[in-house]
Amino acid sequence: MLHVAYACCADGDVSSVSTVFASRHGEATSTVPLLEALAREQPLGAASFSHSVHNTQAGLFSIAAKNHQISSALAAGADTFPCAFLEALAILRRDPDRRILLVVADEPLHSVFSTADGEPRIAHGVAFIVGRDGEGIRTRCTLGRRAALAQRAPWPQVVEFLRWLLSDEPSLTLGTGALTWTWARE
Amino acid sequence: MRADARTGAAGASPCALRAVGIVTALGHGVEQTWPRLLAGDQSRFTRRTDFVPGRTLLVGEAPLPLPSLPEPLRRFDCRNNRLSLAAVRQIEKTIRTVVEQVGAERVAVVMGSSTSGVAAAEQAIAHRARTGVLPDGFDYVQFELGGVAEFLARYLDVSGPAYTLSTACSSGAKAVASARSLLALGLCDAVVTGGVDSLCRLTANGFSALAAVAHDVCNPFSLNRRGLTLGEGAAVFLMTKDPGGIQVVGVGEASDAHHMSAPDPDGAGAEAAMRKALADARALPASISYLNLHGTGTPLNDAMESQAVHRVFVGALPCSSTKPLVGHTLGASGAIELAFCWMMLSRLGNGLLPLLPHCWDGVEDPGLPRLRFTRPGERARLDGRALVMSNSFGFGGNNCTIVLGLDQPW
Repeated sequence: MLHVAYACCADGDVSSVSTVFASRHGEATSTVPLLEALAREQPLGAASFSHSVHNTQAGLFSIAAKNHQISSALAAGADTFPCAFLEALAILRRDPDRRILLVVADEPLHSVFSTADGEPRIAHGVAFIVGRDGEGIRTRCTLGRRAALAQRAPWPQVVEFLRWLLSDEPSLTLGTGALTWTWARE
Repeated sequence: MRADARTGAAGASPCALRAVGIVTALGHGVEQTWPRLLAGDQSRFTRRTDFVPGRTLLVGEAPLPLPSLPEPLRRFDCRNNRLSLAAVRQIEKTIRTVVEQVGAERVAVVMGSSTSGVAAAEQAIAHRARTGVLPDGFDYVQFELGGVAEFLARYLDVSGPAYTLSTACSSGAKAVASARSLLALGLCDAVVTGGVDSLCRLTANGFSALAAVAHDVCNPFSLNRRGLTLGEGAAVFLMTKDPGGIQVVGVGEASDAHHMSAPDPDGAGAEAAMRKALADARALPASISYLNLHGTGTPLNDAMESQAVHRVFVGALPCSSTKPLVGHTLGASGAIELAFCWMMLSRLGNGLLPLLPHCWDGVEDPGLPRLRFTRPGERARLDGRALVMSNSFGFGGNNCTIVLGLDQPW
């Protein structure tokens, strides 16, 4: 997450952007050894506990980048990316003159666990700078209702979104349940 | 339903907290909780020996019974979801009426949690260590943070955006802040929002490893303070665009950029969050009637917070920490303590606002700027708009302050 976050930011950005860090599984995989230690009644290390919170990457970024701005971390199951996009809009609403660094990443979930939906187990991290205006790809995002069962791309939704951004297709619809998000180029 | 990324105007739109459900060590529901809160009832902690090996821990446990989950949602069954369900059930009728009015796809669920059902995962991993397999009743969705919001969305049959904020001890406050923004953006017409966290070995052992847990009930801002007391619970609000009633009128957020588990001792991040919340509420410090402090009782938080509060309010503002009554409910605390503020405002009458007590040993720390703690039974006399503020500061230096307002008469 930190790698793509820094790669996405121009020099002056790192400390001035608000941030949204989104991950479906977050620190779940690295928490398993902690849970195994607890099962053996072994004490935890203070640092590993401090780094088990979902906003660990967000916190580490803000410390490294000396970033004092608004910071969010979230999860939303299979729709973590599209919900993270809404959270970015929500923060833009609160701090409209500042750009948002939106980072969406996951590593494959620890093999001891499994999810009910067949999510693609692909390690990935994508970061975007989102703003009200300025240079870049202009889009309008609309929420809607799923009319019929949609074909899901065999890669994570944020990767599908990136593919679409780099394509010339006019619009993209994402969402794994009843709710859909449609981005249209403007 | 459009989200226009270009309408970033930070204009004030109504944001009403129509109802709240709550579960903490003080009990179930507003009617049961309020008198105990006002009386400063510290008798409801329990002692647990099964959390940290070799240690007896005082904790703020939510009293039984907790509801069981309906059969179709059984895979979500864990204590954390039972806690949020217990809170939701208290206001379910009101929620469903609003869902009926605006449509299921126009109701969002934005919750805050730091633990989710990690306690269930602890038990599952321990079972696996003994038997080689996970227990039948466990499903990853219980542990998964997204499951917190997903469960409530499925239970309430709503299909607007549903997600879980998780920024450690500011999670519940951040959820309310984002819910307000989603409403203002026109992405939904109502939000079920709040926070929930449950007692677990991970946090009990983790905070013990940080030497941050007190032996007795936490003693915020005292010279004798030694750490926090862990708690659990849930507070869930129904938030709508209605004008009138108790409103979220200001939000302020900032990051410390200092350390993962210790606050910036200078309190600049906390100060920034409070000042931004005041600015958002278009309020001067003098117009705030009460501040619910984060006040965990750790040496570091209280030192930091007293400095930040003193710089903003110059020691004139009645304030208290309610963590000596329910414990530090971690990811739920931002919502639970906001619910306490909501209860205060809902009992504003004849220009008198009952203030929440500060329960401590009364021994000031001479090294800290003096704060104006509330006295038992104290009420503030005020006219016009009543404003109260709540602070939440989380690991990673994540700070969030919320201001609630109520125009009189109620």
